[in-house]
Amino acid sequence: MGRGVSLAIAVLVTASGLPAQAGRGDGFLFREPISTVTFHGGLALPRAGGDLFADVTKDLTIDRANFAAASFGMDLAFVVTPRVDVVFGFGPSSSRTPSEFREWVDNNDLPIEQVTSYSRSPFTLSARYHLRDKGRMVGSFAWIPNRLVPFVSAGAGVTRYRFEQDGDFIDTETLNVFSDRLRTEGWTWVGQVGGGAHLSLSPRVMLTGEARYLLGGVDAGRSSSDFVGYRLDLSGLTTLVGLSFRL
Amino acid sequence: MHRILFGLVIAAGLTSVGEAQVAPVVPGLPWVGCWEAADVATAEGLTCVIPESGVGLRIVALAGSGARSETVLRLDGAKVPLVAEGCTGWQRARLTPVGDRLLLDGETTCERTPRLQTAGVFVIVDGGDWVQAQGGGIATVVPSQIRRFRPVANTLTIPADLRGQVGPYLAEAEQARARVQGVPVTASDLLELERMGTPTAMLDFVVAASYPDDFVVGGGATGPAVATARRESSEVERRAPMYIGGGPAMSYFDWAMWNGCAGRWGLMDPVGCGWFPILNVAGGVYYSPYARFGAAWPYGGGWYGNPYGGGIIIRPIVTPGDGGGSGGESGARGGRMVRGRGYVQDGNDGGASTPRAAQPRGSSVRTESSSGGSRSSGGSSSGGSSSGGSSAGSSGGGGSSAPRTAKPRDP
Repeated sequence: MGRGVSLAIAVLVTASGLPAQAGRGDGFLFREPISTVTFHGGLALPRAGGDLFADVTKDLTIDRANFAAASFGMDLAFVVTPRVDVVFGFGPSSSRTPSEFREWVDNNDLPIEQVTSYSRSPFTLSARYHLRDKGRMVGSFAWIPNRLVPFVSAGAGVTRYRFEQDGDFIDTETLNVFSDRLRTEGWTWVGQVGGGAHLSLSPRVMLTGEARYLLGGVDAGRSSSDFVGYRLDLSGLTTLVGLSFRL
Repeated sequence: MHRILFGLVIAAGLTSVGEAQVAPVVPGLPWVGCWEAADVATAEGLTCVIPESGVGLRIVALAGSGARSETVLRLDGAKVPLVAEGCTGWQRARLTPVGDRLLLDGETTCERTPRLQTAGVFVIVDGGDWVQAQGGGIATVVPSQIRRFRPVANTLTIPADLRGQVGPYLAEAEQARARVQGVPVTASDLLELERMGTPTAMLDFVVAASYPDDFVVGGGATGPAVATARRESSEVERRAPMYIGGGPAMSYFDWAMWNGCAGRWGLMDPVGCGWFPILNVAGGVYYSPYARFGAAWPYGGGWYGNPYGGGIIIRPIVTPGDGGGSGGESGARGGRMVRGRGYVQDGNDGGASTPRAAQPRGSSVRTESSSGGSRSSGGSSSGGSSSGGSSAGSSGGGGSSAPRTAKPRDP
């Protein structure tokens, strides 16, 4: 996944046309920006719903909140109309939670431990509608940004997901403790809605705050025989703060 | 607008206070002095700008032939009415709050002709030169001329009477120019200019004049005033077509109207329908009949006509170069999680090299690794996947080979 992420970032940065950024004056740009690149970080709060998370959180010393994770990513937005952007977004998050069985120990009274990892790497294409103009032209050569511009967005895309448990487990039929690494991973479709605001710090730079909700789920047994009959919930809220650069 | 009014009030206040001082502060001080054309090879004549107490600036234009004309610009932002031979209108001159830009605009309506708008912007640019753009139009103001003037280097060329009038202000004027020259226009300045009703074309000129490294401002009297752009941006060309193409973007109707006015007034000057041929208007503002001597008083002559040909071209300087599931890998050691059953080891054969059995937490039966196999009561958990095991299989042997099994935790 690391290589894929790096490649995606490289493609986005290249496509953003960084060398073609508009010149700027004191408090304005010489033309309306045609694109915006945002580097953001935040907190991903998976909904962790569904039967898989239910069983895991019931049997193991894991709470749903343990799946919260830092999220770092980037967006590349292209202006379609003065109020509408098309946004290519990428915002991976990954949690790693050590745990043990709540109700069981081994025959040496030692905890039966394992580590649960959960990651999502959504690539989305969204339409972002700004509730007010992002800025306006004064004359033909001065584009003055508005200070605060709220927006809403909706879109869809694909996400790379991975749910893995590595450690010791109890065979529920024999009570034998066995070691294993159980994993389901793959790609699946997701939807996304969000809302936030841009706060202009300078003609070129904005502080961006946003909340996104990813909608999705996948049959955990589709790509693996490690989780049979479960559905992996991929939904969840992500709150982001980032710096956006008008290009 | 409030900023302008505030500036004017401050300026007026400073003026009134300054009257008691040796060197009064005057609005429009950066323009005070005598100027000569910097955009023509053989400049003829001078333009002297003299403070006019309580009003604004008095412009004295000296043609090469010696003809002299005077114009007074009121800088209080008041619309000065114009009435002459079937034409009515007004003109207005305003100074930006910090005094670094002078804006002029007006309207003229003649008989059976549409209302004509006019506008001009004067800027002190880097180096202390005075650059101005001016133009007119019916629906929108189109810049038709740009001029550049520099302070007269040899004050001895200034007629003695004018020298005496501007002399007391020259030092302060130069200092004022040093303060404002090259000050880039800011977003708030532009918004203020826009609120003042400055035409788009003039706003563009102000931007371009403020950022000479980014824009080429040329055309007018002598063509491009700055080095030719390395490469033009086609995008900006599309956005500002009025500047591109080299000619004053005026319609035939505009020219016809001007010529018609000139004919009616018996003037040969094609700018006859403009302001400056008007001899005497209300408000104490006087305009020169020698408006055709545009090289001497830049604001008066060639307001529309652009007698030197080419229009105003503003081009940005653009630097080169701008321009389905993958399938998870199952655990190699055999196990899975099955809905309704919980974790299940493939084959139930204790694939781990050091098998162990689970027991419920808190179970009273403790399996000692050295005591051989034992059975532990499998307390059920609260249900779910890991519940149900009532007993753990035991295996013989001690030490590390003892199977690891689960047991319930102690309560």
